[in-house]
Amino acid sequence: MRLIRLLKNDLARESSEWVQQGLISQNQAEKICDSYDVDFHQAQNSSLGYNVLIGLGCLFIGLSLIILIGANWEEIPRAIRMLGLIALTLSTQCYGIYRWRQGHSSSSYSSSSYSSATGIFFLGNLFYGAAIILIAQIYHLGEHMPDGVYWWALGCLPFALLTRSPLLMEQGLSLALVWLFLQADEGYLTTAFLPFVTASLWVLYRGKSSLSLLIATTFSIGLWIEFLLAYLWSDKHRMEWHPELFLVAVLLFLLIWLIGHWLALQNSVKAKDYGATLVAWSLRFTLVSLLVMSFSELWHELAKEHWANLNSAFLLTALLFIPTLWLAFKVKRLPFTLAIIATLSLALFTVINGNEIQVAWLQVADNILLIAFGAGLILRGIKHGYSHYFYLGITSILLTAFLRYIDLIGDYVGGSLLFLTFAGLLLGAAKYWKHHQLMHSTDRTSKGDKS
Amino acid sequence: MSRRTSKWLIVAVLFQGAVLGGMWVKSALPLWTGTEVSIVTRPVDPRSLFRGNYVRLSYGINDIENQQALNTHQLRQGEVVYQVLIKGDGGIYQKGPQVLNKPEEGIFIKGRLDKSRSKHQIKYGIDAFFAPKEKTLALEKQLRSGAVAVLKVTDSGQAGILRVEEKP
Repeated sequence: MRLIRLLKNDLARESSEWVQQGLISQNQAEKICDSYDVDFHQAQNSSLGYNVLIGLGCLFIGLSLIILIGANWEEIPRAIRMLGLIALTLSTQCYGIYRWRQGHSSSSYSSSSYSSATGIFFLGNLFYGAAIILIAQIYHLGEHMPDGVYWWALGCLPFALLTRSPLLMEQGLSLALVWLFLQADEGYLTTAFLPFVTASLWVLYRGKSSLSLLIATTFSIGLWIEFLLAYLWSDKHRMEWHPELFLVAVLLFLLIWLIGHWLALQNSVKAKDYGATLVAWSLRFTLVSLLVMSFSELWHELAKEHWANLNSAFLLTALLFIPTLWLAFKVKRLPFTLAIIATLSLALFTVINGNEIQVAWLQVADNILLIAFGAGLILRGIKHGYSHYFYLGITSILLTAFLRYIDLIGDYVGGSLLFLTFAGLLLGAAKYWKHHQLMHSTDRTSKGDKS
Repeated sequence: MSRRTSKWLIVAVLFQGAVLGGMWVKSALPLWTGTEVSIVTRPVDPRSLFRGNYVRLSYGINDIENQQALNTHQLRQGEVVYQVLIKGDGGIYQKGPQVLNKPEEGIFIKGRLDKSRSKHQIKYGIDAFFAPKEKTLALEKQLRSGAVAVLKVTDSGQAGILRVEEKP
């Protein structure tokens, strides 16, 4: 999956230069851009920089007001302060609606009115939050601060849903994430996060393509599921760490990786973009996870844990397997998915039932997996021309070598043997690549001869 | 689509207005309708969050007198607990029993169980007194020897801080 999908605006501007240099015709440039669902002409006049600056300007106006409230001026009567801020909030939002209507009623479709309306709603939502803070201050509300944050996030939600704006949704979701952390930190159940997850998915589906919202939504869903399980698995009615959460996190990422591949197969250009992003981030997560697990302490800690919720974890795993296996079948990655599940099951069995030496072997196995993962990515990158696979593969091998050089496994002899195994894997991969290249060039020669 | 959207956007603005109005009324209701009670408090320290400067107030009624009787380990985080207040000498209210069911008579404050720390406590939403920075620091110094929080408490147990003053 090529990451150029995610740099399509750059591609559109580059193709404009190719047209000027006479390398391709404008018609061809338009067709190239069409295949990535980007408007060749609009991309030349991109207002992204302008919109970002306006958005940041609005953010700083809002933050300035919030900090000003902190000064707590008693010279201004509390009723005037509060009514003034409520009036400011409502009038800003009403002006936003006015700009929104202007965008609709003008004879030509006016995207600038819509984007300025979005910016004004963003600012209005900040004023709304400032008003909540002010009420808490005036009435000395020390009670459960997350409630105020939740009402703030909830007030932003209708604007995000109605305008389908990724920016407003990101604003609401960020506030909801703050609430999620505060609420979870104080040990409360966080089921009320559901509207934000649902709304984010809806805006991703119906709104403009937004990769930052996609990443934020995926992260939020994963985190929320983990927080819910941390609470539900506790017998003290509070959030607690359980080793089973680690298992669920790995399975969730496997599912996200498969969803990415499934989305990449859809006809919609937006779905393809989302798919490319999910796959790229899943691979990065896999690299980081394998690196973290390449240290023996983590395996020994997991082996010492009390796996008290295994039955419900297995039930959840079985439920997750249904979409996982269905997607793996659909995207033709069933054998690979089954191999991952088998490896995970073996690691889990060893951690729970194995002795200290067997658990220590998991570190060695993880390091070999890291090198195999890196070599696999390099080969795949070369074979299909995916540069980010190639570089991720190189990164994983170099990082593994660096970490193992510092932290030798089994002293010098063990470390030397491990490096020898790495060398064997890499040389084997190089030989396979050479073989594949020869086969490929032979195929091309024979096809050329026939024609 | 856009005309209908505009109508719903107006509803969204009204929703924000209603939330702010609701918060205002809920916060001000104890001050408008409540009974005035004074309880002993200890100003702990001034904090500066993005809400502004405030003195953190600690009360004897935050502590759980008989943890086993209330059986807090079996209760949910945030469980509603009622603190009964009994009028003592000099008109200052003293700590009465802590119960899970709403008392039918007398003065009581509605609180929530906080299990986020190893020592369980009850929070009543009256543990912050906001003031400008200089006033907060002066108040903390002035009240170090002992202070009384003057509250207003409604019949349902909602409390709001009226003022904080020196212990008589």
